Amino acid sequence: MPIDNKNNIIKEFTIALAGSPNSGKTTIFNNITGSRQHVGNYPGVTVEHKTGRRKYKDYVINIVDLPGTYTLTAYSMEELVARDYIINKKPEVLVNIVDSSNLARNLYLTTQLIELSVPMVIVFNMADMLKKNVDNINLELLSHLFGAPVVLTVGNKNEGMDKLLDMAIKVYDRKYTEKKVLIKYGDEIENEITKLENLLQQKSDALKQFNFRWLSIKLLEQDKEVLKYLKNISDENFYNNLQKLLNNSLNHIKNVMRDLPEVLIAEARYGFINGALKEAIIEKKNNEISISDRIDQILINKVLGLPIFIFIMWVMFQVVFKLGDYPVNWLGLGLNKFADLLSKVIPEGLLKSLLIDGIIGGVGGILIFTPKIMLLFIFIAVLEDSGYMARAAFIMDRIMHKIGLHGKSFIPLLIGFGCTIPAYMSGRILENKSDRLITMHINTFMSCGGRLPIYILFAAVFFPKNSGNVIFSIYLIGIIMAIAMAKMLRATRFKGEAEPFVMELPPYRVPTIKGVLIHMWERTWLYIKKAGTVILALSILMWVVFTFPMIGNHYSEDYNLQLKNLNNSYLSAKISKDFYDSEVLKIQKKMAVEKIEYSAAGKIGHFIEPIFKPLGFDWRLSLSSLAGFAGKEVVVSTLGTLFSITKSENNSVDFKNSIAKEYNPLIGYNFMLFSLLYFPCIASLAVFKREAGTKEMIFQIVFTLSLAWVVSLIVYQIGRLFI
Amino acid sequence: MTGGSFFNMRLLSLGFIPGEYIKVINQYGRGPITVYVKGNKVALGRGAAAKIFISEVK
Repeated sequence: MPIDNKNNIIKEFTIALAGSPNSGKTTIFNNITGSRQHVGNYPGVTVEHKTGRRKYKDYVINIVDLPGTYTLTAYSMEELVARDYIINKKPEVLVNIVDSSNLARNLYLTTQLIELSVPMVIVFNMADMLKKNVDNINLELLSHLFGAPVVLTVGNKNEGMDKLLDMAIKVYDRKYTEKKVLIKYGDEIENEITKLENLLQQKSDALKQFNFRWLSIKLLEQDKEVLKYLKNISDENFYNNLQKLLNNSLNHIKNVMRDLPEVLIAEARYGFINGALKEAIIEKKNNEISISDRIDQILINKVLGLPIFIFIMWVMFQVVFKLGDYPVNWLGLGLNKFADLLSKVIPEGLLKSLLIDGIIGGVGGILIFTPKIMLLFIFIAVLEDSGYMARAAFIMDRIMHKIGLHGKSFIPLLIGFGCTIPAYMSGRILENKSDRLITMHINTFMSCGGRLPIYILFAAVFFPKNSGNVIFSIYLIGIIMAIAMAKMLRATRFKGEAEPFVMELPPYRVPTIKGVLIHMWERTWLYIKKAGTVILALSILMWVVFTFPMIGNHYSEDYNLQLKNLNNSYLSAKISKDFYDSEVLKIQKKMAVEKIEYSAAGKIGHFIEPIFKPLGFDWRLSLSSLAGFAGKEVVVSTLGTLFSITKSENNSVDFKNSIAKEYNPLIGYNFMLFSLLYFPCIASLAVFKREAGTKEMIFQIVFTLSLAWVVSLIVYQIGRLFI
Repeated sequence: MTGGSFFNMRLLSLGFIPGEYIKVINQYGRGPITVYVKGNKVALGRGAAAKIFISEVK
């Protein structure tokens, strides 16, 4: 055993936090671990895995924050992950966080955790709410009834954390000796449980991590995952016996009790909870309408609900895009300054070009959008933490249902306006697989922040007077496309009804600043990480492709000689300074264009040009779109390079002029459209694959690329007739 | 209750068990409804609500 500097033995153990999503579990996790936490993913699935460490008294405590769940069925990935963790990893102490304002509902999970027979501490969080609703609470009796100590905490005021840890240690040291309890399900069901338990004994080696009673109950609840697991570990003979016994049991219960076993089991659990609460808690008489209900009377009012929702969305986008402009511009200026400074320090050559044109141009171009992304995620975190997001899903359900989606689909779609990566990840709130996949596939059309620079550039060049409206029209087309594609996917690949809408409306709460900031940061970090990894690598690759092979002296004309001649004429005062300058610039531009055309990028651009020609795109636009695979932010910076704008010169007017000269409004608009429709970026595809599998990812690539191509083809070919 | 076993489990865990009282808070014409069950506010789409049989008590 490790020993600290005072010669005390340090004991190390793990506690796992389990509880419903609204129980304040995350707040308690943050309180205990402070900043010493690590966010990762569970292997195979992208359910977040948060761990932290805390040294407390003579103990080092590892804390695992399990995903928030209401039950331990196999209903969602979160539930599966939570229960698999408890069963396989066997944390020394399980801490069950319970929302005190909603005891009956939250203790339902507790009854299921009890059956996993892991040492447990029950935490009544938000205990300040108890005082409002409860006259007297007998904690000792409650602890006795549940067979696990009950502790009171107030997470958002950081109260009771030491009590919690002390109790966890007591349980770990086996100094807490309350007897374990069993929830009884009535004679009929208990008989069948015993029969199943006995049969499972035959496989006790292969099933040693399980509690047989729990397995048997899950079998009677017809839990598909448990059945699948047993099938995998057992031989055919055993499995057949098991199935025969199980069917007999199910039929027997149905015949005798005239109800489904899972219904009876749920009844018994709620019965257990009601009994315990009645004995240990004296409730206040309370008939007044709660504040939450009053707020709901307005916010989900039949008439006012939708307009208020639209207003909130409108405010959000105004703040994000108008207010967000300032910090984005400051960062842009700062970045230019930094590039200037760097270009003075570093000598001319490849390294300088790589740093300034390649890395700062590529990665910096994306990082400067971070403030907008942060603002959007702050809004979304406030909406989520306050409880409004559930209402918004409720309001949207009628509309979403019409297009074959679930009310909750709206949440990932909304996040998609910021960055598609967290949007894909938040698709997990949809339990039904078809709902989830359709939502992910159409999320592409929710124009992400990365595409905005493209719109801003082309709208400013070709529609200077209506640029706002033109950009808005692109967003609108994206939404219309999403609706159309959702309908199409529902009718073809993902047949069937959307899952019936059932969603809890948690009481409204004032979000804590810390909570909002943590939520915001977790999502923003994904965006920044993308810039630091995938985009950095691709920016360097891009730069290599644009720089090599170097042209050397393979120019079509001898520009160096021309420059020399010009210089001589200027020196001998045959031409004016203005004329000299403009001629030099012309030659330098010609050289830059030839340089790029000679590079690998130029060759690729010309090679793929025929594919894009029918859409009206020349090799430069084609190449930029290809570069956009790395991230749509790269499209504009690539175009910048192609029009030979070096970062050290401030030539943005020049850049816009060359674009205006090369293309027309139709091509400009069509290019915006094309950029809207094809998949957001390679990083997003990687997330897509993790969330939905390789097959769906390939479908996403083919589907969005062909859609983008076809739509742009139609727009260009028809548009051409009118111009 | 009728419906698939997944859907049933979800409703059960929310506290929709036979014999339980629920209080309807809001009805939106033919649209979704909000109810109280076990002290918990739950929104049900029409499709979901249609799968739950209730009898009226005052």
